[in-house]
Amino acid sequence: MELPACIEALEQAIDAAGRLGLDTSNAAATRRTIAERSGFPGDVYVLALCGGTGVGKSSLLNAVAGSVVSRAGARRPTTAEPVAWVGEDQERQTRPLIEWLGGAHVETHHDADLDGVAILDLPDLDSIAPEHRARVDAVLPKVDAVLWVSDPEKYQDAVLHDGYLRAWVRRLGRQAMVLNKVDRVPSDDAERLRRDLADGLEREGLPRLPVLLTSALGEIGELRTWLAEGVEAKRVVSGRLAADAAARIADLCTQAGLDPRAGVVEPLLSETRRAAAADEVLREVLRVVDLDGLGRQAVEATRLAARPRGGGPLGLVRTILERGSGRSERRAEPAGYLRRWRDRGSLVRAVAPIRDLVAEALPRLPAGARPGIAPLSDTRELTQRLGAAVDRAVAAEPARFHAPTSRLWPLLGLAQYAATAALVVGIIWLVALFAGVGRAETPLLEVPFLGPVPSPVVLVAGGLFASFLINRVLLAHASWLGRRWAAGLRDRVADDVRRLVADAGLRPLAAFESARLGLAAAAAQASTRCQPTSLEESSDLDRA
Amino acid sequence: MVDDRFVNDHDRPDIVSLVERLVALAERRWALVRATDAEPGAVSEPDARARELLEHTRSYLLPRARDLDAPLVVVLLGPTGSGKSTLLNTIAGAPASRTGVLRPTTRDAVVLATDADLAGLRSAGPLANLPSERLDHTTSGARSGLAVIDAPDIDSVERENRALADTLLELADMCVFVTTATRYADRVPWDVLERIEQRRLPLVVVVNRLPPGSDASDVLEDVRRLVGRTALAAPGGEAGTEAGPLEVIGVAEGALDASGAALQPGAVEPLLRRIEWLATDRAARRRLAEQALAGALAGLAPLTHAVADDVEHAAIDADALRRIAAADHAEELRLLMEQLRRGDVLREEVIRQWHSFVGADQITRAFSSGIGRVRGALLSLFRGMPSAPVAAVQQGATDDLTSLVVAHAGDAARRTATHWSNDSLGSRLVATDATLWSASEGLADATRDALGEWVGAIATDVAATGATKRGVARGVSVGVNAGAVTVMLGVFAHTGGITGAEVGIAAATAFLNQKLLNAIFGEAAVQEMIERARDRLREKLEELMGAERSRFDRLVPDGTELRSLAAELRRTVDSVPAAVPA
Repeated sequence: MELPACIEALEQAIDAAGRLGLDTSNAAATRRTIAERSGFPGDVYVLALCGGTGVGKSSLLNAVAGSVVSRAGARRPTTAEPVAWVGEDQERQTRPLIEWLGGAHVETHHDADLDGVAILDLPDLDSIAPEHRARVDAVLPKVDAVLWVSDPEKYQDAVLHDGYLRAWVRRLGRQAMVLNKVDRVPSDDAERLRRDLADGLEREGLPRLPVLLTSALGEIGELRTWLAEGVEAKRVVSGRLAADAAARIADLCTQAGLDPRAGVVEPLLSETRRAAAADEVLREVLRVVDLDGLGRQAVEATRLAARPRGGGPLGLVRTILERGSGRSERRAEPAGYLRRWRDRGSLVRAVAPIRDLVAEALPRLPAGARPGIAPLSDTRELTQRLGAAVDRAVAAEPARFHAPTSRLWPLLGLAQYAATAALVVGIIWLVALFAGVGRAETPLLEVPFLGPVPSPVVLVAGGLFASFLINRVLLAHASWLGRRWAAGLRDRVADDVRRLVADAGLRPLAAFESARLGLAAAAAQASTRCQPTSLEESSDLDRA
Repeated sequence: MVDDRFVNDHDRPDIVSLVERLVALAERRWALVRATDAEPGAVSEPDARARELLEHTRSYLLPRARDLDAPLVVVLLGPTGSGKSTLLNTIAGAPASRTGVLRPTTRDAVVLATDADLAGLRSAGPLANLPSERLDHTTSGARSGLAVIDAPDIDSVERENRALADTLLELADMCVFVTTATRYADRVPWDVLERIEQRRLPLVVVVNRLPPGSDASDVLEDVRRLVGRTALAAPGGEAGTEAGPLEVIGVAEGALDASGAALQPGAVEPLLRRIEWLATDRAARRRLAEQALAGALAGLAPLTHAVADDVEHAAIDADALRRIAAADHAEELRLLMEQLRRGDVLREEVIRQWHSFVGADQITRAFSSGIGRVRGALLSLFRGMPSAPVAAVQQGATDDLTSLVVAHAGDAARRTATHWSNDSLGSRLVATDATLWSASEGLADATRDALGEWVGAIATDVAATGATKRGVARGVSVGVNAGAVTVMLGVFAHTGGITGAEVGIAAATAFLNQKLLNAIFGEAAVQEMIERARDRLREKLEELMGAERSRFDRLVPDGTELRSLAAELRRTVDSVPAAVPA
């Protein structure tokens, strides 16, 4: 049992439970109590006598002390103010501790055997005086050890079992049940009572506690032996705090629907199930982003880029004419096309797989933990997250969207110029020839022939054909280049979307899972390192 | 005997029928407890009261009002280990109930009565509603006309015992409350004593295990003082009746007889004398029964009004929860409708398919005029009319709309469940079903069906409108279903006069779409058709959301019904006369 490790586990559990949306106020209160108690000296531990009215708590204390320390009486309820019985040497240093416990009337003693313990006689927990019970409830979180006192009449009372033992036994370290007034029953019945009480605790699922029999006449041998057991006050104090921390961690586990003793935690949703959902999300997102459209835009952009360079004079003119028509922005701007993904539909469908995941996880959680996971399926929140992720994914460096060029294009351009020039020369020649018809100086027959065809006609037809061919080659090359570029672009955008979107959509669920793991890990640490000494035997029994 | 009964029935028919009505109302109230079942184990105060009222009216008032001469029921009640069984053995003068040191000793009720009396009590009397396996019967020492019941404890870890003891308290004519010197200031027994006082049950207190010496009188005095704080100290009846002031009988520690299972007879002598007298004197029994009935009737009002208060509070809670569900679902419906109006519901993928149809030259030209129309006719001659991608577009639009509806319904459910979780009743109800946190499983299918019906209704509308319009021929050439899809898209993307030069295929499609519609049906008719389709869609969506909300409403009782139950309870109890006509 190491208290610092327990405190660390408790803090880890509180943090994890907070991330699961659970109520951690009780655990936080315990954390504060641990800090406060650690601030007081640990040389003396406080042992509280706790029980119903009339079972003889005050008489027990008087019997231990050997004198009247706390007033006992027949009128019920008797003790209203707690009485603290402290060794004289410890009185000074114990006083602040007793003040912290809410104050008590202090009586001192010289019993050297018992100077490590301060016995606190508490008011009853079951009488018609509600303030008594309130006092007990206020003190119990702070005391270091407890004796649960009852008698043959009251030992199965619902108030004791349901109201106190069930809630407190796990949160305490050193403790025992005292069955007082056993002299009122025949002696062989006393042992039956002891067994009945111990078995009852076991039936309720509580750790087995020692049951000490005492008599109203002052025979308190078993109790004295228990008190004198060589226990070191410091160990009792830190044992209680550790038990409290462990119990709170276990409570948080129960709230989260985890078995505190299980150790290994199955995730709410399997890895493969989450991966499948991530794929679905991605598919839907990519449908909206529209990679096919992106590819078309990229090819078109490459073709447009090739035109001024390899299209000769006509290509240049067309480019200049089309500038400002908005055509290229609509059809050949992959970066802008990506940026405008929102115009192409909403992400509502992409969110559905995540919502389904949450709906699948909900029934696996206890009702109290469901409000913690439900917000993870908020459509608006999720579409915003996904949308922001898509925005980040498509807003890559602008260089990526520069259409590719080729050295081939200027060459083709040159050829296109040549072809155009041939065409123009041929046309001028023909025009000149036709203009000269009828004039004597330039007879038609002087025109050179290339084979059977006159040269100007060859020039015109050849120029046209060459121009057409070159343009085809240019477009084919640009398309090929564009397709190659588009394929790369698509891959990179898809990669970015995959990386950012799956993360954005499923991160909250992953965080929820990891918080559960964190809580379970804290519980595992607590179960190995916070077991208080007095409970170790019983957990051994459990295992056996 | 016969005469007595005649007189009884004659004098109290109104009371019997009033009590019968109360029993019916109490049963209705109890059914509500079952319906909204609280967390198991712990019983809330309102639920405990509902049960008290039911047991009290059904098992005590009704049989007693019907027959004052039925056997008298005396119940020994008290905490565990207080000595109830020992007292029963003392009364019986024979071992009737097991005593012992292990607590709780008595787990079932032990009835000391003659066979005939028990049969009467079991058939239609006070014990009729008790499970027989929880009743042990003993006849040794039983006296005719008087049944003494040893109840299980009221305060041990066995919850079942408390429930049975509470029931026995409600059906008793007289209570012997057994406690001890250790116990007498315990809170739980005092809660029981408070109920005894409220129902004005004739009472004797026995304090067992008194310490020796002067402490004994101290304790008895203290008990009297504590009892004095309640109205129990008031004389139990008018002068001349045997009840007198409250009787507190002290028994010293260890005053057991030789067997150890019963007290020395002298220790509780006043109680034994009284029981003896009741057993022998029929008139005394009758007087006690009358007194108990009168007290019970007088004590009925506070309990009944408290139950009515509970029911009214439940009505307020129920209404509040229903309002939360209604508000959350209405808000999501509003957001959904808003999104539909904005028109960005459909994916471009779907719209593009339609655009390739309405944007085709043959279609646009067909509905223009002059030379364009001629060109359109020629084109369709060569290329044929393009067929509308009705199924694909309808499927796509339905899918998109369905996922939107499911998303909003899911958000509505989550909001409602979250809000309910902040309420104690609401969180219990939500905890019963994890699917309440998301849209119901069948919603997607239901939405698809509803949208299918919706498109069907539009088609009917299109056919009807087309038949009366000049564009009937053209409409038919495009097809009724294509017309329906056109109108459907018009609902989501009605442009209201955008020119079509806008960037984006959605706006362009909307423009072309509208042009097409206007050409077929005329502008005014198109407006009307779209309006009608939009209204119908709203109705369908309201219906779907309503069905989603009803999952929550079903869990909560109806506030109006609850209020009428409360009013009836009050009216009935107020008409119970203060005194029984004897």
